[in-house]
This record gives sequence, structure tokens and C-alpha cells, in this order.
Amino acid sequence: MKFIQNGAFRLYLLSVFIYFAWVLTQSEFTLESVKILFPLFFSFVIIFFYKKYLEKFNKVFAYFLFFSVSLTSLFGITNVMDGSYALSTNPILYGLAFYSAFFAFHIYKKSLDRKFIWIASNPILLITGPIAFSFKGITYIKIKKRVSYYFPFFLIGIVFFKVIATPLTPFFELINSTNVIEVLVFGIIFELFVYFNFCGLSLIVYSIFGILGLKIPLNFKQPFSSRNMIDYWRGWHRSLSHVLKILFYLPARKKYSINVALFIVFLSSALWHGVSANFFLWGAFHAFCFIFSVKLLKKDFKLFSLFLMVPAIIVGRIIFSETDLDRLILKLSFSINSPIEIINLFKNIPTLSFLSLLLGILWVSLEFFLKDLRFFKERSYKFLRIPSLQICLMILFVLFAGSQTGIEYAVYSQR
Amino acid sequence: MKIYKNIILLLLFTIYIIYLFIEEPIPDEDDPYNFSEYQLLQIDRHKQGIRSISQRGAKLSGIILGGSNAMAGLSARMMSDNKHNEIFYNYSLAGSKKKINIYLDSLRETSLLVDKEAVKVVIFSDLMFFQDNKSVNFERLEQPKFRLKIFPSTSLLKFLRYKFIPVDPLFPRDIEFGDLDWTGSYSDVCRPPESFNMTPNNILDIKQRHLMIRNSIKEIFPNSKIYFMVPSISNNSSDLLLKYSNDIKILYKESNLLLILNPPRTEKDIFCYSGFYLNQKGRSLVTDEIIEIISPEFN
Repeated sequence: MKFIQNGAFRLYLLSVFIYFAWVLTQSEFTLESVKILFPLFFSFVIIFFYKKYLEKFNKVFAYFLFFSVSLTSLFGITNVMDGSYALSTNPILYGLAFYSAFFAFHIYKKSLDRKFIWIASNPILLITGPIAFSFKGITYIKIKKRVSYYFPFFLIGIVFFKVIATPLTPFFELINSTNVIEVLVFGIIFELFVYFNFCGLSLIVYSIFGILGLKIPLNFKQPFSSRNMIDYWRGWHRSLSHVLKILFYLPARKKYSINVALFIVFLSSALWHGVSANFFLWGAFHAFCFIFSVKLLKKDFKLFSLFLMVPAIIVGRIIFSETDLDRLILKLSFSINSPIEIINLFKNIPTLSFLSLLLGILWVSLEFFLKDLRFFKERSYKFLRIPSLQICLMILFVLFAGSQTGIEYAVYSQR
Repeated sequence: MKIYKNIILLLLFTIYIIYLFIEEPIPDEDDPYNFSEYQLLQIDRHKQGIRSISQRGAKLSGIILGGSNAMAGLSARMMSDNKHNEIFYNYSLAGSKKKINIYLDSLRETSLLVDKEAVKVVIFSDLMFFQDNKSVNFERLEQPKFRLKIFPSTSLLKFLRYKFIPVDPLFPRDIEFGDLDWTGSYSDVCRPPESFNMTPNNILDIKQRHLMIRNSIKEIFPNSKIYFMVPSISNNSSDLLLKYSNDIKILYKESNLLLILNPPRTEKDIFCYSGFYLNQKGRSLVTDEIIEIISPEFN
């Protein structure tokens, strides 16, 4: 039983134990409660069929796996991943997007090992969303050193998720507005929410895995320290970007021009998020912005690429979040005719939500404006890991951790 | 610096763990057994208001009960002004619909401050005639036996504020009659109304609730006539609601429960941000109608 000695398996057992300890104390036992076990079953099935019959057709199988979640989304079996709160439509297929992308990556690279099953189906990863396409044991580093290095990431993650992202959800009522001002305000707030939610959870997972002896890639690297869209995507959801690069960009680049390759990458990413008109539009929009940024940078128009980045991120997020096509068209017409409700709406927003918004804007501004300073240069949240800032984060956590403002959910884990 | 950082972090973490164990949840609107801090403050203000009636040597003749719809939609001052020798008081309490038992207990306690025999009319405006489409039946949700707590149920900052800083009422009320003060913060949150989108509640459950309430009020104010009022709602001519209104009328007549039920309102400018909260104009209009209905009790 070689796999018992492997760190990934121990981590899997520990994660399942924590999950069930939590579930048993929270609610009654249902199919929803055991949803995290289905990925393990499907992972076994995938490995079995791959090793037994499909090893020769690894590329076809990899693409089939990657787009399996697009098929389930097309037939309404799973939800699209638009960042809104939704319970899993189908507990049996819980986490499909993540473990299928994980296996697609390794099958394509012919690097699949049986022990990967414990990473692919790890509940902590599936609930939070990062794809741990690479991992290595670091148990040779003493636990004290690991805690000392990884704990600050945990603190940053929990403050991002709990104190900044979650209280922003009361602002989501703005999604119904079609007035240009409200549409843009919603776009900005929703971008902040997705960043602090997903980045926060990714940092928590990164630190837990690190403390327990498994190093996985950092999923976010201060994306707002960027000066153009290319740089932005280098820091945003890096695990998915890497999978897309291996599965789509590199093969497409061998046959087609860079522009075509980029369109293929972004449209594949769109399909992975769900089969919906807004995602096609989102993919095409970002592909266009990316290509345009490349052209601007080639001509050394750095300032123009910066001016393109800011609206591209906001408009991209507006498209991403709106699955109602008619309303999306209204929003993208940037009309000033519809009534402005923002002042009335803001009257009902809790004070903590405004405080979280301020904190979010402050952090993003620091990321952006101080990007060349010592603690920001590495783009690994070093600034927040300095002792005095860690104390501030801890104070924020202790004071606000129990706040009931907002809806708590993992933005990338509701399939 | 590192050692100090670790000590401070450890200290803060210890505070957090201790707080996890000692914290008591702050009662909110969904807690049927405890008033929230705002409600406690309002009850206290009501007691002051009612005490001052006796201190003036006057007698309380009528009382308005209910939740936020009664607070926004009925005026005890108008009723008192109309019936020159009679005093009405608006004892409504926002967010009280799920706290009926403790609400009636507070009324029982407050009633000791006045001549209970003198109260002739009680109007109970109850939004429980309807249910929110989005509402969850909390009573049917089983509470877990024990909870694995990682986060407290209330933030430490809120808890400290609750313990040490007194609150102001959410919506200021007229101390003399208990009415909502329209010059206060309520008018700030009043925005264009939405359509009424609540659905009928279980009529038999509501009747049982009102029989219980009637018995309790009869014990408190033995000479009173108790009217149950269906809150005024904006125009909604759905067959379901029309049938529901008819069913209520029939059932309440059979059960000898006095009912105030007006058809959905056609006026467009009398509601405030929902299809059932009246604005100042709506309050005057509906209160006038109520005065007509209760007038025989004072002749």
C-alpha cells in the first residue's frame, strides 16, 4: 500500500475528516453532505479508463475531460460559473470543473500518476477552487519553519475572504441596474469581490497545504500590480492559466498565429466557465484586449496599454457576471436613461460593507501604485507579511471575524 | 521585532479563542425568545409614553399593536385628535411578528401602568396574513445539537459596541402617541414603492394565532374590542389574493374574530418602498378609514 505513505493521501484523509466533522455539526446528513466523495469515485474511473484503454488517445481524452463541464453546463446538468451564489445543481458532479481540468492537464502531458488522485479529489481544493496542477512534498522542512513561512499567507487569506470579500455581497443588488453609473460601480465592486474571495481562499489553501507539507502553486500574484492585460493575466487565477497554456496555447501556436492561438485560449476558458452567451462574449472581449495589448506593447505604447487595462478589467467583469443576455446588452449600451437608484440602495447597505469596500480599494491601490517598491516587487503579498501588517491583519480578523454581513461562499466552487 | 510580533499575534489569537467561548449571540429579528437591542429600547420608550398618559391624569382608550406595518401605517395621534376625549397609543414594534409571545408579555407588563378597564379598542395589524416568497420557515429547521465553532456568531466589535455603547432607535417615534416620526430617519429610507409580491399564508394557522392573541389581549384589557387588521397592500388583483381575502372574511366571521380588511389600494402614491409599507399620506388615509370603523365603540 504505497499510497498510504504519500503525503497527498494523508492530506486527503485529513481534509475529508475536517469536512465531515464540520458537516455533522452543521446540518442533517443528505446527498449534498457527501458530495465531496463523488470526485474521488470519478477520479478512480478516469484513471482506470485512461490506464486501461485510453492511454494512446491521451490528447483526445484530455480535451474531452476539459470540456466535460461545458457539456454538462450545455445540458443544464451543472451551473455556469458566473460568480453568483448558487448551491450545486448536481451534487454527484460536484467539483467536476476542477478535477477534470487537473486530469486533462496531466493526461495531456502524459504525467499522470495514480497518487494524483488524492490531490485531484481533495475536498479543500474542490471547495475553494485552485487547480493544484503541480505539487511537491516539503516535509523535509521542519514544521516550525513551515508554520513561520506559511501562517502569514493564512492570515492574509482569511482577512481577504472573511473581512473584505464577504461583506461586499450586499452591493450585489446593483446587478439589476442598467444605468451606466451603477453598471460601472457594480463592475468595480464585483471585480474586488471575486479577487478577494478567490485569492483569499487560494491563499488559505496554499498555507494549509504548505504547513501540512505539500507545496502547491500560488494561484494569485498581485494581479493589480500589473500595467497591462498580459501582466494582469499572469497574476490572476494562475493555475487555470497554466492549464490553458499547456492544453491550448502551446499546441495552437504551433499551427496558427498568436492571435488565433489567443482566441482559442480565451474561448476555451469561456467554455470551461460555462456554456452561455456572456462567456463567449467575455472570452472574445478579453482575447481582443490581450491581442491589442500585445500590439501596443510591441510599439512601446505602455501608457495606452495601461489605459486599456483598467476599463477592460471592469467591462470584462460586467460581461462575466451577467448571464441574462437582454440585460447584458442593455448594460453594454451604457445608457444614462434608466433611473439612478444607487443612493437609495446604498442607504440600506451595512456600514461594514462600506468599510470592506474601502479596505479593498486601499489594498488594490497599494498593489497598483507601489508595485516597484521592495515589498511589492516580488508580487507575493510580501508587504502584508511584514510583522506590523500581520498584527493589523490579526486585529482586523479578531474584530470582524464573526460579522454576519454578507453571504459567505466560494466564488469559484458552485457547480 | 519578530518575537514581539509572535507574542502579539498569540495574544490576539488567545483573545479570539476566549471570545469564541464566552460570546452570547446578540438577539436579532429572527430570535423568537429575545428582543433585539433596538426593540428593547423601543419597548422602554413605549413604557415611558404610556406612563406619561397616566401621569397626565388621562385614560388610555385604544391601542395599536403590530409590527413595522402598524408603525408606518397607523397613527394614534390622528385617532386621539379625532375622538376628543379618548387617548390612543401606537404600541407597534418593528420586527415583532415572530416574537408574539414576548411582545404580548411586554404589553401585559406595560398595561399595569394604565387603567386596563378603560381600554375599549385594540387594533392588531398583522403582516403574518401574508408570507414572503423568499422566506424560510425557521421553525421547521432543526437546530444542530452542538456546533463546531471557528467563527463567533457576532463580530467582537459589534459585541463590544452592544455591551458598552447605548444605541439610538432605528426610527424615531413620537413619545406622546408612539407614532412614527416622519421627520426622522424613516423618511430617508422611503423610496418608490415596489409591487406587492407576498403570497397568502396558511389561513388556519393565522386564525389559530389570532385566537391565541385575542385571548391574551382579553386577559390584559378585559373590556376591549379586538380588531385584526389585514395591512393595506398595493393594487394586486390576482385571483389567489382575491380568493384569500374572501376566505379570511368567511373564516373570521365564523370564528367571531373582528376583521378590518380593505381591498387592495389603487392609489399609487401612498406606499413607501414596498407594496405594504404606507407613507405619510397613506397613513393618514388608512387611519381615517379605521376611525370610521371603530367610531361606534365611542358613541
